[in-house]
Parts: sequence; C-alpha cells; structure tokens
Amino acid sequence: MRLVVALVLLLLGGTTAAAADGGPVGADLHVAQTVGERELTVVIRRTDGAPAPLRVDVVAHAGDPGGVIRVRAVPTGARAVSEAAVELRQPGPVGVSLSVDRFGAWELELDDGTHVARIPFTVPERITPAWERTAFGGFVAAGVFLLAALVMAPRGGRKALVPAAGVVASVAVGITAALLSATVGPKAVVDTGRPPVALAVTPDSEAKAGQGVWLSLDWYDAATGRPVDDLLVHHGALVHLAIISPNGTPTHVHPMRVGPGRYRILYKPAEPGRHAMAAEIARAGGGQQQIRAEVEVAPGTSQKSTVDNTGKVDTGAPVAGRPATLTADFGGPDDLQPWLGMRGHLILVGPGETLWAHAHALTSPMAGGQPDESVAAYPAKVSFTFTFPTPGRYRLWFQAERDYRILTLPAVVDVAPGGSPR
Amino acid sequence: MKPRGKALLAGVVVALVAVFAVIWTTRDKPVELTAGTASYAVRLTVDSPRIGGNAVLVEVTDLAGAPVVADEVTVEPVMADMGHALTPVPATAAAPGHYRADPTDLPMAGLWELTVTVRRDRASEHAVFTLVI
Repeated sequence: MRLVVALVLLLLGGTTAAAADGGPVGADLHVAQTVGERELTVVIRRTDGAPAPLRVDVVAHAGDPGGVIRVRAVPTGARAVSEAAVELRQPGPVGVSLSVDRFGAWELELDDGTHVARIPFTVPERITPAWERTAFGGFVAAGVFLLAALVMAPRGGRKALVPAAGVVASVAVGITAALLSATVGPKAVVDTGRPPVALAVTPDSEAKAGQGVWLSLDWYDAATGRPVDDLLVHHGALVHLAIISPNGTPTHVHPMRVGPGRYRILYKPAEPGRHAMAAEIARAGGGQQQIRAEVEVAPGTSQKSTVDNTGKVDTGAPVAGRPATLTADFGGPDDLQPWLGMRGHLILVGPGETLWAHAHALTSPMAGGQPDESVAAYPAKVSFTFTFPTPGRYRLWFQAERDYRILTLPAVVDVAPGGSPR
Repeated sequence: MKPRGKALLAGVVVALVAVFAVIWTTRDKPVELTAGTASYAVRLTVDSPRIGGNAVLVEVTDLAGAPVVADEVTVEPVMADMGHALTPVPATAAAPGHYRADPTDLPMAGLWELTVTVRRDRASEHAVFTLVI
C-alpha cells in the first residue's frame, strides 16, 4: 500500500501542465487614442505566451491625415524590443506584427514623429492552479494503475489488489479535486474601491478660436495627491472626453496617454467662450466616474463649426422621471460600424449643465470579445432609453460610425415636468 | 502489536511530523517585482511581506542593465484602496545600485502601492509596484 501512496504522490508531484492547458489567456484590447489630429483605434490582439508574436491593428478614421506611425512594444524598465511602421493612407485598419519576449507589464508606443502615445497592456502568464494539477495527476495515475492491474490480474494472486486499490485512490483524488475546483477561487485581492480623482486641464498656450491648442490632462488621486496611473480601458478607451463649445458643437475624443497620470489632446475650438468638458474614466477597483472641467477660449478667427445633419432624431415627448426612448436614424443602409465597442453613443447635457450623461446602444455579445470596427452590419436606426431626471431643455448628440467616419446627429429636447422625481 | 508494526507506526508518525515541520517553517518565497521608468529598470524584493516592518530591497539599473548610483532612493507606501499615503522611507545604499529600505512599515493587510523614487542629478523618476499583504 505504501508503494501505491508513493506512486500516487510521485505522479501528482511530477505532473506538469499539459500542453493542452496552454490556451490563450486574456482578450483583445481595444483602445481609442486621439494622437494629434488622428482619431485612432488600436487593437492589441491577445498574445499566446511569451516569447510570442504580437498582432496590432491600427484603425484610422475618415478625416485623419495620412502618414506613418511608428509602433513599438516596450517592456517596463527596458528598451523597446520590437518596432514596426504603420502607413496610414485611407480610413480602415492596418495590421502590423510585433513581438513580445516576456510576461508582465508592457507599453505600446504610437509615435507620429512629434508625439508619443503610450498604451499600457499586459502579457499575462497562464498559471495552472493546484486543483487542476491534482485533478489531471489523479486521472493520469488512475490510468497507469489500471494498466498495471490489467497486467497483473491474469497472473492471479492478491498482488493485483494493490494496483486496483491505486486506481480507486487516484480516481478519488482526481474527482475530489475536480469537484472542489468550483470552490477554489483564484487568489485575488478584493479591490474595494479607490479615492476619487482630481483633474487639472492646462492648455500649453492661450486657447484661441480657430487655432489648435494642446491641452494637458493631469489626473491626481484626491486622497494622496499622487498621479493616477491605474486607469482601465472602459468602453474602448482610457479616457473619454466630451467637449461642448458655447454654441453646442460636440467633440468626443480620447486623450492620448503620454506618461503616468498625464494625457494630452489637441483641441481645435471653433469659437471663443467657455468650452465645457466632461471626462469619463474608470480606476482599477474604483468603478467609473465622470469629472467635469472647462477651458476658456479667447477670440480669434472664428470658424463655422460643422456637424453632419443627415438623419432624423425621434425623441417623442419625454416626461421627467419616466424612461424615454430616443431614436436616431442615421439614414442609408444598415451598415453602421461599432465605435468604441458600441452601436451608438448618446451624449446628453441639460438643463443648463446640471446633468451630463453618456448613454450607449450595445452591440450583441460575441464569442471571444467585442466585434471590431470591420463589422459594418448594424441598423441605421439606433435607439437609447434614458430617464430624464428633471424637466427642462436638454441638448443631445447621437454618434455612430459608418465607413470609418464618426457621424454626429444633434437634437434639442424639452422635457415636460412629470410626477415626483425618482 | 508486533514490534515490526510498532516500528512502522513510529516511522509514519515521525514522517508526518517532519512534513508538518517543513511546511510550518517554510517561509513564503521572497516577492520579486520589476518595473521601470523612462531611464531606469527597478527591481524590488520583499522577503515574505507581512503586516508591520518589512525590509524592502531595491535594485536600480539603467536600461542596459548597469547598476545606477543614485543621489537618493525612497520607498513611498500607499494603501491604494483607502487612499492612505505614508511617509516615504529613505533607502540606504548597500552596494552600487542596491538599496535597502528597512523597516518599511505596512500597517495593514491589502493592496499596497510602493513607489520607488530615484533621484539623480536633480531629476526624479518614479516606479510603482503593487504588493499584496
């Protein structure tokens, strides 16, 4: 019997992760980054181990200037290990192959010659949990003992009982480990929440109408004053920034990360005045939050702002406190593309600026992650449900994507007073 | 019980006690973390992290792997979830590129962010590590 125990232990201890266990870990990372005048979506495909090739797709949108972007994979605390050039000629995706040589934290650098955006990503290592090793080991041991029992059985004698007992013991070990696996959670830390963030928006120079100005967005932890560098990619970007000009022209951009806690964006205000902005972020363990800020723009050469107006908006007659269905019909065929993983976006601001909201129309879930922008198959009509909390005048902007162009439909809605607000 | 049986039993008991003793005295493996800044690679080692005073070893090299002699190296612990920052612990040089912040007091269990600040030629760079206690 000691022999049996020793064999079981040997088999359990000696089992390494089977090759079949080495499946891909993680998912594709979709990150929107506004690099200078380009609105890019970067798709970092999931890697299968390390060293491994790393596939990166850069999606350019209509209106982006052409040119070359250098893409580099940089492990933290080391130099770039691979570099490739992406030539952007027309809207759409361009794929490049890089390589990663180690597990852990990495940054993907996008270099347009003057500015470098740094997108953090992880090359995850697959760790085989103990229960999995035990379960596999148990069943392998059972197979070996079964063979031994079959060989010894015809020779008769009680010795065949030893491997037979081994089969029973190994199967018991394997089944117990497999059944208990559900109760063994991964070793995780409960991230109970993080302090709020403070946002400082600083223009490089005085913002003037008609001129592009670089804005620095610095994020600070409101409890410690330290830079916040734990922003998660949520809804396809690290930071979603909506800027509304005084006459109601919306800008929905995704500031590029240039360093820990620092993001930059090139903003072109069309007219002078107070440009209000709302940034949406998600901290690790801290949930999503919205931070409001503003930038004052001095008079300059005012330009007429352009907003696509092809399409219809149907809002019905919304009443405060009741869910309203808001439908944007972008017209044309049903070939809308998902933008930031969503069929449509709706930014609402009102009354005055007391409420600032951002609603989404979801795409249908897909195996292996969200559909990327190459899926041009979504209906031209996009509906949202939103409950206006208070009566008054709201400004709405519906956004969707077609042919890699971001479409924006503006609308104004007067919300009637309803019963008691919820 | 036959003498042989007694001997066997004693052997099993001794083996079990030995196994438990080994498990009991085996300390957690030292935690080794790496991170980087624009010009340095930083490795941080904590020998069995625990509540209370910890010896934090910091190894600073440049991106090519050569040890860096810094003017000042500090370790700043922050309890990330609580937003609670502690006074930075200055690290003393043990060897070129090797620094030791001892004791670094981590007063509670949970997720800690240790920021290693390397100051050299009036420029500071920061590497952030996440440590679970």
